[in-house]
Amino acid sequence: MMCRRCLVLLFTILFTFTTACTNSNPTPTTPTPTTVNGPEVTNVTMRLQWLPQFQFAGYLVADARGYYRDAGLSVTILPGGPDAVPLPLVATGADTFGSTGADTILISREQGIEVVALATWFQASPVAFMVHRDSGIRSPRDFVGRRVGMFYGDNVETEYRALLAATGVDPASVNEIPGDYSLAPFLERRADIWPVYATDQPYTARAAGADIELIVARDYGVELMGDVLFTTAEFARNNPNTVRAFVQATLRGWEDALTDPAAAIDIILARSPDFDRGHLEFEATETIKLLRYGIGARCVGASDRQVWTKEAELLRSLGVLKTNIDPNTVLLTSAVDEYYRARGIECEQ
Amino acid sequence: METTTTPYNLIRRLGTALLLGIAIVAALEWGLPAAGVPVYLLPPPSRVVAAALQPEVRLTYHTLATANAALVGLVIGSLVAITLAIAFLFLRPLEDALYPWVLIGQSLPSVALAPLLTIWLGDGLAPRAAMAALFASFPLLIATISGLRRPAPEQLAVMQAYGASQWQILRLLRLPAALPFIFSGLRVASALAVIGALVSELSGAGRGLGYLITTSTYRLATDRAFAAVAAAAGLALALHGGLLWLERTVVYWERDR
Repeated sequence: MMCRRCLVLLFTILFTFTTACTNSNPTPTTPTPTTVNGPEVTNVTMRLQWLPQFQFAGYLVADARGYYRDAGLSVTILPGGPDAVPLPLVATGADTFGSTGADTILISREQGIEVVALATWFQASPVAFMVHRDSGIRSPRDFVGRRVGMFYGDNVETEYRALLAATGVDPASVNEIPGDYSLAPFLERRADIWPVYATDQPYTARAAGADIELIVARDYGVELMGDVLFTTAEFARNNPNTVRAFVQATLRGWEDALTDPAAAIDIILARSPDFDRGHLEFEATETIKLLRYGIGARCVGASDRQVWTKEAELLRSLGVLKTNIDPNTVLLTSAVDEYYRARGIECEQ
Repeated sequence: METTTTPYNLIRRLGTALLLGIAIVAALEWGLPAAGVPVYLLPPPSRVVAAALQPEVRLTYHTLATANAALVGLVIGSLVAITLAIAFLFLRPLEDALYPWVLIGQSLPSVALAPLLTIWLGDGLAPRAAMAALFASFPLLIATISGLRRPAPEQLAVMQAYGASQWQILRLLRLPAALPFIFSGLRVASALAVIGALVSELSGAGRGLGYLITTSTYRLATDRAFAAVAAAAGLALALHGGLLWLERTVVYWERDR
C-alpha cells in the first residue's frame, strides 16, 4: 500500500556500505548477446509497494498479455509488504525495478542512493485523511484536539505534515496515535482521523458500515505526487535498452487497463482469486483519476518537471529535504517521451 | 504405560478437552453477536469455518506453502544444529570459540532480519526457510548438546576400556542416549519453524499463511485471518504429532518408561 520510508531511513547507512562494497548489478539477470536495440539483460524483477492490485494494473496487464515477452523480457512481478520495501530492494540490486512514491525518490537522492524515476504514474497523491461524517471534522483546522492515526516514516506522514503546515495547524495540538494496517482502530473510534489511500481503504471502511468523508491535502494547496517507476542510475546507464523495453511494455499495459478496466480486473482476479471484484472496481475508478490528473490527461506515465520541482520545493520548505534537489537529476523520462513521440504526442507543453 | 495410555484414560482426557472446546466455540458463536461485537473485530466460529472453505481463499494452497517453508527450514536447522552439537563434542576449542556467539546470535531478534533476508535471498522459499531454520535450530542445538553428554562417566569408561574409538562411542552410546533429547528439541523446533516461516511471510510474501493474515487484516476480513491462524496451529500440531510418532518408532526402547 504505502512506501515505508521509516525502514528506508533505517537502512540507508547499511546500503551505503553494501552498494559501496558489493557489485550492485541487479541479480536475477542474464546477459544476452546484444542484438540491435535488444535488451542487455532479459531476466528482470519488478517490486511493487503492496499487493498486486489495480494500483499496479499496468505491470500486471503487460505481464498477462505478453507485452514484456514481446519486448524480449522475462519479468517477475513481486509483491511488497511491511518489510519488502522497493527502495532498499532495488538500491541493493536484489530487484531490478520498483514502484515507490515520488517523495522517496527525492529523499533517497539526498541520502546518496542513486535511483532514477522512469515514469510517474500517480500525478496526484493517493493519500487522503478519512473521518467519520458525524465527527464534525470538515477541514484540517478541526484536527485540533483530535486523535490521528500516524504511520511514521511513511509517505502519509509527509503529506500530513505538509497539510498541517499549509493550514497553519500546530502539530502539537493534534494527538498522534500509532497507525495500523487494519482499519479497526478507526472504525472503533479509537482514532478520529485515519490517513488512507483514497483508492483503496474507503471501500473497506464503507463495506464495514462506516459513514465516512475524505479530507484531501490537494484542496489546501499541497500538491504531491504518488507512485513512480524507478531503478538505479547505474542499471539505467548500463542497460538503456532493457529500461526502454520495460517502460514501454508497461505503458502498453496501462493503456489497456485504462481503456478496459474490467479486463484488467479479470487479469488481477485470475492472479489473486481472494481479491474482491467490487473493491477492485472502486480502486480502478479512483486510480484512473490520479493517473489522468495533470500531465497524465495527455500522457499517462509522463513526468511534469514543474510538478516535480514544486514537490522538491515543498519537501524542502517542510524540512523533509535538507538541500535543494534538482528533479532533472532524478528523472529519466526518455523511454516514456519516445513512446508518445512515436505516436505523435508531445507530453510537455 | 498402563496408567497413562489405557483407552479409558485417553478417552477421558480427550473428552474433557473436547468438551471445553465445544463450550468455548458455542460461547463465541452465540455470545459474540449477542454482545454486539463487530465481525471485523472477532468473527464467530461459523464465519471462520465458512471463510476457510471459500475456494478463493485457497487455504490449502497457502497452508502448503507455509508447510513447505517450515519443513525445509526445520530440516536445514536440524542438520545444522545436530552437526554443530557433534562438532562441539569432538572439538572443544570450536565450542569455546562458537558457543558464546551462538548465544549472542540467539538473543538477536530474528524478526528484525526479515527485510534483510529478503534482500539477501530474494523471494520465494529461500528467505522463508532461512527464517524457519533460524527459529528452529537453537532449541535443538541446546537439546542435542545436553543429550550427547548424558552418558554417565562409568558408561564412557567401559566403552574406553574395551578400546572403543570416539566415533564408536558417539554412534553406540552418545547418540542413542541423546535421541530422546533430540526428539523433544525437535518438537519445540517444529513449532518454532512454523512461526519462523509465518513471520517471514507476514513481512511481505506472495503466498503462505502469513500473506493471508496480512492481506486479510488489511481488508478487515478477520474471518479469513482467523482461518489462517487456525491452519497455522493445525500445521504446528501436525508436525508435533508426526514427530511424536517418529520418536515412538525410532526410540522404541523409551516407550516403556
